[in-house]
Amino acid sequence: MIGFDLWLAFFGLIIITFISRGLFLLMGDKFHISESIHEFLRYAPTAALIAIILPEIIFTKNTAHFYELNVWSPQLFGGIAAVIGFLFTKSMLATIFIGMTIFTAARFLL
Amino acid sequence: MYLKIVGQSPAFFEGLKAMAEPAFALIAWSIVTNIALLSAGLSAFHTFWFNILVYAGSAQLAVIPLIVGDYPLWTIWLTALIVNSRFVIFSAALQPYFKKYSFVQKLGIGYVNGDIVFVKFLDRFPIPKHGNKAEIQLFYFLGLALGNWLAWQFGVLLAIAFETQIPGSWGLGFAGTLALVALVIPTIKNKTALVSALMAALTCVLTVNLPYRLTIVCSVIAGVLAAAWMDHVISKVAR
Repeated sequence: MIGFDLWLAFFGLIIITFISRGLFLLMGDKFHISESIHEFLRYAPTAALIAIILPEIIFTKNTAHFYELNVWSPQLFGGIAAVIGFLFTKSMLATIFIGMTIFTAARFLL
Repeated sequence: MYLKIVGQSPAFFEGLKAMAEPAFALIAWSIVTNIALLSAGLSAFHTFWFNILVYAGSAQLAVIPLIVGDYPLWTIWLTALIVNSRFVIFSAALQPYFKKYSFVQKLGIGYVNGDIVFVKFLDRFPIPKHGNKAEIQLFYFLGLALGNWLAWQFGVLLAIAFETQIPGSWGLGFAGTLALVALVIPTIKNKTALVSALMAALTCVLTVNLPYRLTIVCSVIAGVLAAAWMDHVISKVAR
């Protein structure tokens, strides 16, 4: 895709960013989010992060690009080390450092 | 005028500062995402504008094979819409905070939202404030959003400048994932949050191979429903 078509694709994608991220903000008068519904929506961000993190930790991608459960991978060891590291240090940089150290070590050893 | 008010607000800088640590994750992801765009064949010039204009990391990554492969426009747009569907739920969660602003302002607020912005914002303001203190919510949000934007675009520039010198073997993407681990654990504060998180994790495992990264929106729905269910159970026991 080149030239005009590419910019047209970008233009449509801008509109999609606006629509998807703004939908309920913009429709505030028609679809009111009640306090009780908001109470539960507060749990949405954690759920989204988990769904972003988990596939990178307990799965590996096979040759057909499908995720396969893998409980013996450098990622899993790195991930577990990161969780423990965070619980002890409460620091993001320490968490990354501990996780990456174990991940890298496991890549050489496994 | 309005920019000056925002610029003088402590809440704005508090938000900007709150992005300092997660910025590392964002830069790492941005580099990984944009190296993928560049190596798929998008030029540096187009990659730059793609990020400035569309500003939707996961959706950009999902549509790039379709763009390169000359697929019909509607398939590109539909794919982006589905990958972005989690943001529709996020926009519902943000609605009570920003009701009083104009249509155009709300359009802008939604546009600059991102996964980490959303997590940090709800962590700081779990319950919407109204009245004359309500503005600090917007200022804090804008601080987060600016930090998010800067970190992402910085990653774009690094990817363009050093595309060939950054080997995949560094595990840069994994470092970004680990940063998110440090971001997600403190949000699990009580029993309801724990059950919600476990339900989201289970749903993610079951739906991980769905196309269009639908596993994210499925997990969000499961997490929210689990929270509602837990609330119901707890109130029943209390009675």
